[in-house]
Amino acid sequence: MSFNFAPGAANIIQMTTLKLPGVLAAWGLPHSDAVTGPDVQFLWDFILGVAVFFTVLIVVLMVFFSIRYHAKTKNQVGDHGHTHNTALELTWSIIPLILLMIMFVLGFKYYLNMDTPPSGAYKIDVQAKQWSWTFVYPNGGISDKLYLPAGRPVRLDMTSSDVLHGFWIPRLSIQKDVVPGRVMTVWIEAKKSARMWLQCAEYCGSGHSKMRARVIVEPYAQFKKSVHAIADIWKQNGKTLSLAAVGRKLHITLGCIACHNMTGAPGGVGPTWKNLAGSKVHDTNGQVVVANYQYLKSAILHPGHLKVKGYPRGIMPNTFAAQLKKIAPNGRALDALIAYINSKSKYANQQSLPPELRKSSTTVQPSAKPKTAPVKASGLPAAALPFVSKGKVLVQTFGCTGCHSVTGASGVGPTWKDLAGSAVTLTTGKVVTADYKYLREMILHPGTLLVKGATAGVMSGTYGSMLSGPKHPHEKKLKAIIWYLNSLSDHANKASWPPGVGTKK
Amino acid sequence: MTTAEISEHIGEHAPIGGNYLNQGKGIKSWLFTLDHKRIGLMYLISGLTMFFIGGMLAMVIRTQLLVPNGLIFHGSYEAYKHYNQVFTLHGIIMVFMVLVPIPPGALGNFVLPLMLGAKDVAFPRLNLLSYYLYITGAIMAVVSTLLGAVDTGWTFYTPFSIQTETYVVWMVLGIFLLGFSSILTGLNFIVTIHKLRAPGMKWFRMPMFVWASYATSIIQVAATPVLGVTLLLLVAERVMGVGIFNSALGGDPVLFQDFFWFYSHPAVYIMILPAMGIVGEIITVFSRKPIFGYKFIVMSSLAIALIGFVVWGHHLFVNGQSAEWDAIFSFMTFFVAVPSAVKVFNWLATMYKGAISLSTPMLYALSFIVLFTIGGFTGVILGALATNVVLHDTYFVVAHFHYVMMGGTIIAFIGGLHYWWPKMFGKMYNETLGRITCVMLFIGINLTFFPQFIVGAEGMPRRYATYLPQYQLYMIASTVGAYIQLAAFLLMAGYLIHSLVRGKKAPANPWGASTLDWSMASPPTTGNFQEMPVVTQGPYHYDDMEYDGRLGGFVHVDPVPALAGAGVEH
Amino acid sequence: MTDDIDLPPHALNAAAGSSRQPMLFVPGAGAMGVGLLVFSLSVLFASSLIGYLYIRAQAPVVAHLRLPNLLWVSTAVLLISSITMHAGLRAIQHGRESRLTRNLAATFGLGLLFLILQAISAVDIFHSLQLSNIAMARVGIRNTGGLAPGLTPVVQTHVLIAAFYVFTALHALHVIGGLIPLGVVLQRAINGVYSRNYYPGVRYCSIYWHFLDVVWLVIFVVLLATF
Repeated sequence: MSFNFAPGAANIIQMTTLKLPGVLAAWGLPHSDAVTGPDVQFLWDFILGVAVFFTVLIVVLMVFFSIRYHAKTKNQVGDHGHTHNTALELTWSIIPLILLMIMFVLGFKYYLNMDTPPSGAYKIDVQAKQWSWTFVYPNGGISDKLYLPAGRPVRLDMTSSDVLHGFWIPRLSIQKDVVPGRVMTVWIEAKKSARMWLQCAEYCGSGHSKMRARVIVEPYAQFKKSVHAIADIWKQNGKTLSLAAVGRKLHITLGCIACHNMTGAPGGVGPTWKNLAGSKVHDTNGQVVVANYQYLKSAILHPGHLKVKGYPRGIMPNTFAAQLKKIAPNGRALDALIAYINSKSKYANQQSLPPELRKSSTTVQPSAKPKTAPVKASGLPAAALPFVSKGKVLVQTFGCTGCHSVTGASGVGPTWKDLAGSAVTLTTGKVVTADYKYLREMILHPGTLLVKGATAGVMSGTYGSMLSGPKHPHEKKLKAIIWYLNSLSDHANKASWPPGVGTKK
Repeated sequence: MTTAEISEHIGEHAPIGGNYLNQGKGIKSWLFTLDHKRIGLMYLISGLTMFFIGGMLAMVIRTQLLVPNGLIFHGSYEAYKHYNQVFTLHGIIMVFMVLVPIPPGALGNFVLPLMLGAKDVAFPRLNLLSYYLYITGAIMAVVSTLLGAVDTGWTFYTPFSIQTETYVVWMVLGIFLLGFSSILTGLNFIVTIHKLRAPGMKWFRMPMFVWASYATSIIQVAATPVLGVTLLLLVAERVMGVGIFNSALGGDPVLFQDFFWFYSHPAVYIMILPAMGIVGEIITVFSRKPIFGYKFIVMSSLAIALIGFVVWGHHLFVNGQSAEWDAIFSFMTFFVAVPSAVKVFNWLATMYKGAISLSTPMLYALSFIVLFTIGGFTGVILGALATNVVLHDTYFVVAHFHYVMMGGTIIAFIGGLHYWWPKMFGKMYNETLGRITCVMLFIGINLTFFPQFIVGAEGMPRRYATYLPQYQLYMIASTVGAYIQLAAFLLMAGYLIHSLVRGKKAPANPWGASTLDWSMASPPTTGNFQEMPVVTQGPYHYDDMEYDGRLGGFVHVDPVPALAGAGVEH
Repeated sequence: MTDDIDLPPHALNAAAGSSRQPMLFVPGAGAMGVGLLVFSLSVLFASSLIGYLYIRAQAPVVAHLRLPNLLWVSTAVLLISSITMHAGLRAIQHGRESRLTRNLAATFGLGLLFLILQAISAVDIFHSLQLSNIAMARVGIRNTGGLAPGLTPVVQTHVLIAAFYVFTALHALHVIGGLIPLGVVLQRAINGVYSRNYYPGVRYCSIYWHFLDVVWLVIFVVLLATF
């Protein structure tokens, strides 16, 4: 047990001399850097003013009465004449009622503004999990820090992969619970550059008090640079990083560190990563397996299959495969993570290293170009082929293949094999051709047209917003996906091709 | 009237040494008693034991938070989990085993039939069953704690409460039983108030505390079943995977919150209404003046109970509830503040031109007014939507409800305990120590919880095992306050226990109260009243009694038609 | 009203102030108590049904199930038991003690039969649970665990089944809770305790039994409408 008060003492001195007077002057609410801050501050001041007035009044009257009407003898009794006064009682019912209603109206008015995101706001995705925050920027960059542009509204779409979390930045006057199974939205507009903390406000388990993230508000130009830098995880200050160094960054930004420490300390949610690579791992069946490259890879991609002794299944989210793929579709991000695990293990060996770092292997090209499987051309124009491969990557990233097979096998949704250009029967009985317009409509507004046998609402309506970039809403990525769909179909024809590349000819 | 005559009267109604405490001996006469006063005392002892355990857990919490990284539990998630278990148990014990059941169970059981002029509650066996359900529930909670203490927070929010590996099912079933105990107590009180009033005890002649208990009982009967269903569904969720509260199975975690608060917000009024009733009684007696605006106070109790059912959504302002619902719940929350304000003003008006004596119970009542006012106004800040969004789930909320629960319910309960102590045990406690303790508690509570308002507004979330260093000053002040409270409670335990052994014998009516509960000897006999009392006027009137220094209490001087059974010569 | 008396008249003679608790003479208290209990339990059932309907209304069902036909039989049994209960009450109001005993015995027996039929239905639906698991495996939805990314929640078949279990079990527990006092009252009726002027236990049991009937009808209608 540590009884180290020394750092605290310095803090206390600093606070009592510098901070406390400021706190009292501001009636306690911290200075807000948000555009909504003054509203909240005004309401706070108003209610607190009324509260202090009445509290002082009540205490003064109480003390005054206690002294003025103090009983001189035990037998003294109070004045009979004052046992009720309807007018007076109505007065002190109605005056508080009026004051309270003013407070209510103000509170609601300001809240509506705080609750409604302005259109055209910059969009950042927030992923909460036990016990870390991850921020995904429109350019695909992933960070554990929340960068915000000063003077511009930002819309945050928040999801949780496990339990309830609370997104709270007191200095930006904003709080919202992140409810699993829903997309929770808040918007923020910070007035000027500042640094502050985002803290989890909704209790979420053992690491609740450690679930916080840095919030960095910067001028717009600087903000753009920061976000650009995040997107390129392979470089730092213009220099290419080693694979293990990239892995070290991912360990933090993906939040692995919340459960897997690098110090070897026991008691973590997941096993420590120190000396893990190449070591022997006991599984729940009493068997011993070696943590080689294949093992580490499948552990990260398919945590649901893990059977590590002492660590219950189902704790680790299965979202990392998609995240890693989003960063580097060719699997290099995964390799980077595994390289980092190796770099901290004394048992690391050729079998535990990623293939590109093995001594025997030939030099691997460092490019991050995705290796694309040959695509069945089925008569597509050559110029469309890059779009097909991009579409394939997108399809995997968005998890479309979870419901739509590309092999012809049945699934939750119809298979994509031979879909483009084919004839489709709708619930209305109408038969339509799956041309470009149809495919586009199905992806963007899945509820409007229903294929026979399908149930409304099963397919999410959020793909439209997921596909949209800051400059070209829908089009670029959407076309790529539809090109990919065409590549899968023997019925593909010019009507099912996206306009542009192929049709221009 | 001479001393001899008076002792004769006392002797006539309470045979020497004959009272409910010693009529019937042996452990069985207590365990199987149907006497509301004995059951009340058993609730009191159980409740104070629980309060002690919950209080010691609070001391652990406060000690932990002395340093930013945690003084007791630090360094690993496993350690933080233990901290989470501690604050969860603190919350569960204080809410479900102290604040909800004990004011009605201990004081309500003891006083209610006495105030009504009844020999007992309507269903004495059911009353005993309530007590044993309470004990069984508490034992199940202990068992779950020994197996693996829950770490969900007392709110059991899903999906965390579905996923955690601690023994949630046991704890939840225990609380389910506590809920049933609460329903049966409420049912019993409602029927008692409807059917067992003494002749002439019209509805508007009932004392404040009876009205408060009536309002409380309505909530207990109507809201607690929802808690029961919520907890049963949570058990089903853990055992069978029903999927109603689990988003992974197509359910909705927010539905759990709606269900939970549909009970738990009215439960706040279960906790505060009896406290308001107690304070009303104390203020009129120690101001020696009838309560000001009796009907307004009565109506405000009922209004609080009824409006209290439609404000639960103010716990859900930040979890995606639609803005329309937010507005409705915020509006109702402001609305429910009015009757509370009315009560405070009426209590003050009662003191105006009274003949005030600052005895221990009165000091507690005055402390209540101050602390409840602070707790109430900060509740208004939290009820306003725009400020709620900034302060939700922070220490500001922690401070707010501790001002209301600790500064409100507990202070009023302790005040009531001091007020009825002579009636319960027939002994007087040391008045000086009583006043000193009250002042200590008042200082301790303010020092503990006021800094938490500031630290919450500054940015410290609740339920944190560790915190950012800039909050340390406030946390230290808070901890010092907690230790002052601990010292005050230990002192109180000391002089109260001393009074049982060495205390001066209490007269029938030490405070000069005019309600029926003071009309018989202290302590009362098993049947309460030798003759059925007949009531002819309202509950509060102080002209017809006189202090007798030799007795140390008040005796009636005028013809007292209201108190025919009070043992006073006509 | 004399029929409201809680306790047999001889109990009123117990001496006040003795160590034994004096018995109370409280007209109407018992009926009011049972009424409040029924109100409280109604809130319990109503809130659980509201919770289920809320979740059910959120999203479409993947695969519909059929309720066991046996439920119609058990519903009929419960309805008949309510009639015999009422007949028992009318009998004692007219002073026919043996008819009371017969009707109470019939109610008790029908209550037991109802429980057995419900248990058989529960086993029956357990088989459909297994079938639905196979069905869900076929469409690629796992019974537990997270949802596929981008997939909006759907109410899965086992939510329906679990709701069925929760409601029937909750109701069955209350039936068991009613059979116990009914058994006591039956025993007392056999012993000749009740008469034209004194039958509070019969009245309370009758109120509670009709309540069980109404609650089951509501549950059954909700299940029929949502499965």
